Amino acid sequence: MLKNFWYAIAFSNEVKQRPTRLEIMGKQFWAWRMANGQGAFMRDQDLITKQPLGNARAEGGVLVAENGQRYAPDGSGRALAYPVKERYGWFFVFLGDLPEAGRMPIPDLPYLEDPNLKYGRIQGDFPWKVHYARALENGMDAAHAPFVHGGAFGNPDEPEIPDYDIAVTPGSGIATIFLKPTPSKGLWSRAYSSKKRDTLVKTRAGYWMPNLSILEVNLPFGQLLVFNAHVPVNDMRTVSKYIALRSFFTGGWANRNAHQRVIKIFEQDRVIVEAQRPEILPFDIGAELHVKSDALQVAYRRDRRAAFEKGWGLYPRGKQADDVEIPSPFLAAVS
Amino acid sequence: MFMNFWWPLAASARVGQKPLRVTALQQEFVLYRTTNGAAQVLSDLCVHRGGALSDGWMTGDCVVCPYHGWEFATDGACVRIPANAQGVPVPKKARVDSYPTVEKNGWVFGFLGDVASAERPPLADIPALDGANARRGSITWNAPYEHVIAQIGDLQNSAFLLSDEFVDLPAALSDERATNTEWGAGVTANVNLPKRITRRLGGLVSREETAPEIRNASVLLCAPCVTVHTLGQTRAVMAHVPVNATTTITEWLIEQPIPKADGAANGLEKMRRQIETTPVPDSAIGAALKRINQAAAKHGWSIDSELISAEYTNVKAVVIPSPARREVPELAAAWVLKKVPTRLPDF
Repeated sequence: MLKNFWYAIAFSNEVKQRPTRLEIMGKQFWAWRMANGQGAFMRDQDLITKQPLGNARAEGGVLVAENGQRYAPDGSGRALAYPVKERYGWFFVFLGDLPEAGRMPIPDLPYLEDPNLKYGRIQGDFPWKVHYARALENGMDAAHAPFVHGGAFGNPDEPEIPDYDIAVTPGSGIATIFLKPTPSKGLWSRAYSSKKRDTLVKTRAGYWMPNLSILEVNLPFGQLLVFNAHVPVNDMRTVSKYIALRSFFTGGWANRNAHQRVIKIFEQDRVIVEAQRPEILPFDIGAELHVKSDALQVAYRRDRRAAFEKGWGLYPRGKQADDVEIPSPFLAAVS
Repeated sequence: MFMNFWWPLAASARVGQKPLRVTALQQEFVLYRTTNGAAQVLSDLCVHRGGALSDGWMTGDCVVCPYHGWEFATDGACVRIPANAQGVPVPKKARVDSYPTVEKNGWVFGFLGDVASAERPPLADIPALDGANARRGSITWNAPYEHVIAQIGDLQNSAFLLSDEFVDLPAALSDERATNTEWGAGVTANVNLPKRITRRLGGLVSREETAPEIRNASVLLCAPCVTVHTLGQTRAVMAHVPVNATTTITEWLIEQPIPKADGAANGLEKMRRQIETTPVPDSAIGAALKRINQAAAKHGWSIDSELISAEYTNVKAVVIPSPARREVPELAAAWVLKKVPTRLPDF
């Protein structure tokens, strides 16, 4: 796990005034919303007693532990607290001790804040037993579609990935790949006329450090966008929180079908990604063999590696350790 | 756990055209049959993204990784990368370890190691139990395989397992003899089965009595983990394969004059407490395995499973090296996945 990034860890509408306990990076936290609406995020552990806070409740601006002890979310209390920002419908927390000026900002994602875009939108959770970086690589992988999703959106007869360009910015890479289309099934086949079948499909796939991915499929009948925040619950578990936009069948009546399609795709991936070894994506670029079509995944691994080399790896071997805390910028400011 | 042995990885009947995953020595392997029926053992770990080949399928004689469709031939070389443009050569590094595979008397053996054939311990000498009365099955133990073998290799326990009616222990043994070879050991004795009384509860209570009898019993140990058992006319072959340092799967074939529906399953289950919780008895077979393993350790064949558990689990994939790593110099730089760490021999 890497520190010093803004991690999308929940959907904004999941965080309420009543505190919710969440496991992130193998540790327990509290997320809640103060009276003014501002989100707060705090470790579920008293810094002095090392005990969890029990059935905590929010009161005024602070979190009150079961034993009555009060904890302020600005670092002035006895628990590690972390900065919170909200964007795109996700709840972002800054996990690390880098001062604000040095932080890579929350990235500007395309489409999600475009007021003119009249797309159908759904969001949801897919929990699975994978490391978040394996999930992320899978979420932006075009080459696996013909084998894992054949018929759904991969074309088993056209598995070749043509050379593609990657738009690289610090902490992000977006590839544009032109693929042969797959005939659609079910409801979507009604939007799929025969004369559109020979057109190459522009596909975009990419990532933003540390845990966001995008897959943009421009089907002959419209656009489908799947954004994912791959939330690292611990080394072996991830919840992929997806936001899926579609330019066709934008009405709410098609949401159920859209959800089913996303989940079906994820379930096909589950079998494969849960079996990958080693479970944790290696920091060593040479630990696995890459071919040309893996350029995007290699770019992501390089960004991960660069962060690791800055000393941002939380756990020396990559595995979580119970005795290592994620440092808080507030505490750094105090000390 | 030791490399450079012929490990019995599965009963032949379990290996087919659909790839089969087998975990042994803390590693995953894929077993399958080619179109001509020959069994093959490969490392299960795709060199590309660590996908499990055993979740894939066969195309001709190639096993196909389910993630990106890479096709691996029986020698472990990848022969097709579907995402590559036509005509782009497959890199030399696109390969997995392929292990020499032999099928004998109902078992598929993989040579898990890299030493030349002249240096390899022999294949286990096992009888074919393929009669109509043969039964097979498996059981998983929470115990190291050395403990399982020491217990099941004990003549009294073996007699208990193979007897048609379970003998009250201890059965008296006489005329015990032991033999030792470089990679094996054997014990034989006469088992004096006591008079047995069976009560059957039906509409009426009936009582049956069997006369005391003497049966010849033997246990043969074949390195690295096979035991061959006889009791009178009953014969069994068991492969006690370590999944890891603390878990063992015993796969067994048994042939009984009067076959029981469950084969040896019930008897093995009855031994669970003894195998998983009691200290290892000082059986001749247990001692022989210790001797053989010490010899293997001196060769440097001991896999450092503690190091793997502590440092590599979930973080770094390692594989048991195959003979091609030593035998094919032009592939020296082609192995992306590192070899399992071994312990230095104690001197």
